[in-house]
Amino acid sequence: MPSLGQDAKKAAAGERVYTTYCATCHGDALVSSGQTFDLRRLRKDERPRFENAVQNGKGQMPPWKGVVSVEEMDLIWHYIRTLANDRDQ
Amino acid sequence: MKKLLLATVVAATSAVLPAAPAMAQSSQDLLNDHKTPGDVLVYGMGYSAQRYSTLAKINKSNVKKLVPMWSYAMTDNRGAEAFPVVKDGVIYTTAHNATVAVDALTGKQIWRVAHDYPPETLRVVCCGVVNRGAAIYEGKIIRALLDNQLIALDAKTGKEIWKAVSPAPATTANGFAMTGAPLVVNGVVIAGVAGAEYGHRGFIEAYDAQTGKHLWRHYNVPAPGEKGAETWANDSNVTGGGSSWVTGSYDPELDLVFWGTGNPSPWNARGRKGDNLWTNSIVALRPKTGERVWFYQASPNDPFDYDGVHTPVLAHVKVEGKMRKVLMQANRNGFLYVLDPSNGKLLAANTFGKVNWADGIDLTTGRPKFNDVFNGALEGRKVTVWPSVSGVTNWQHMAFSPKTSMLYINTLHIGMTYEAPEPEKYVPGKPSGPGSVKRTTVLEDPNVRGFLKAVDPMTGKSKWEVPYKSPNYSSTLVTAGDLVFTGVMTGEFQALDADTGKVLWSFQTPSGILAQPVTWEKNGKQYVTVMSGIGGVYALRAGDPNLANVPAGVTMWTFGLFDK
Repeated sequence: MPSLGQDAKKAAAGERVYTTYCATCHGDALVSSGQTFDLRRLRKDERPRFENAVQNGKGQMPPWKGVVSVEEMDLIWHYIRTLANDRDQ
Repeated sequence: MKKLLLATVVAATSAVLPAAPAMAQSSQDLLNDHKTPGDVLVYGMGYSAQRYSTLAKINKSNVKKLVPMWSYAMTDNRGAEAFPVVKDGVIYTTAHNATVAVDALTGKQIWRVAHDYPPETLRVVCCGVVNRGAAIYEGKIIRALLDNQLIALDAKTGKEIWKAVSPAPATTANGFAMTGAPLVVNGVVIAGVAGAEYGHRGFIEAYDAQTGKHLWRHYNVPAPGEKGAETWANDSNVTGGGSSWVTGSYDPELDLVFWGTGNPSPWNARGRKGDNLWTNSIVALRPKTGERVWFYQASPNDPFDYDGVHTPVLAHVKVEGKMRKVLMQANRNGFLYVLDPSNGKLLAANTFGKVNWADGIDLTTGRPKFNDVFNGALEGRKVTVWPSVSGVTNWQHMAFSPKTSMLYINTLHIGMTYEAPEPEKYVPGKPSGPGSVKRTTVLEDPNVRGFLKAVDPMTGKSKWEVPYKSPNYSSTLVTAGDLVFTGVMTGEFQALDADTGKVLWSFQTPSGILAQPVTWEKNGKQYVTVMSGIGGVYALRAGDPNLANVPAGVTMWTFGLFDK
């Protein structure tokens, strides 16, 4: 069970990775205008769905396998969780 | 003997006449585009890129009767940014994944050619999956593809005539993509690239319009050891950016093509001290050889992504009491530059929106008067900067009316906080843009994020300004009917009074507009055509709540006066 501090560190690092690779289409701080998937809608139990889309692409999203590492994907997930609609308040 | 004579006559005739007279679009036709308002042949509605039409059948007195004639679905839900070409009753336009020919009077599709590209291509398309249009030349529709290829299609059938692959190192893996419309000058196809957010070394290049043969390449960043490389610390020029994703203009008297170059890479300027030539510059090139005759750099050592690609517009305006030919560029950095197109000498440079990173431009040296905001950003301090990375204007084209001597510019009114950390060593091939600095949006009024302005070129002052909730990323079009046409991000296509800015007419299209309106004439009747389809960098990433859930989907619309 990771400590809260570790999660926060991962989320902060994840913001940087997100801004580098994802914000182009999914918006600054996860806010886009609705033409792409709103990542804040990803639920807590949807990590496999998230990882599948990142690695293999989905619809008009390109595949990121081999570019975004598994570790970076983990950081992005932690960042998304801090802004998700169903985040722990 | 008779047969031989006939053969001789045919040979002699074909040497004089073009191969396909009905589909000529010769170099001469392209030169005269601005004088033949029935057709729209050259990006910018003529080589001067004024986006001005002498047509006046639609004017202030009757624009209220403007109605849609037809709409056409592009089968795409990315952004629509293309410039439609109109020739002999056919409209040619593009999406990132298709090129189409449509009957101009009915909207019926004549042909559609789909373009496929590997899915990883989109990894290096930073700012909207788009295409800005095709060029027409001697019966060919010539366009760029996202994966760094150019193709020429038969204008009558859509059949491919040639395909050219941009030579190394222009690959997706190296950060390159092509979104801009080519410009054809005297049989030379000139094209640009995107990629400064992925550490490429940008260029402008040329191909033979008849064969697709690669002719020349002008790198917008010097090679190691080349003159200009001394303006890049730590060999940062190797991955120095300098894109060319917006089409340039051409002056046939000077035989010069003018093209804006983009931001340096990475965004964080702290690892690339120096002026970073020839990024954020206007370059004047010989179309035949690519020789650079002059350059003018607007934003040296740019930390703010003030991507200076805006199309230079050529016109005659009054300078010190005398009419003279000038080149004008409304730059993303917030200054409106007026230059002598023969030598690049600066004639005027004034702000046309809120700017705080410089206290003006020194007219003698042409350099910005940098202040604490700029210096603080380079030192790594957190500063509040106007304008934001999106600029006072972005890529959307302005129009110039010789009747009013005014520029009609869609502007942004958005600032940012900015902080550049100690730069990490840049790894070639990795994204080099937004992730390299920290930014947040700053607004004065969340319901006024942009204006359409009528601007005096020599002073930057507005005659009128119309506020918009979200900035218009549509280009403008101005006509001799004293109308300014623009699109709105929430889908309205509008006509404004060129003298007062009053909105005289508005029509709701199904999606947001960030494209390029054009006007043309057929059978004595004037029409206006524009594409609708939200997307592009602002809608995708700015988080503008005014644009939440604007429907996606690309359509093309043509309007005419209701005359029944």
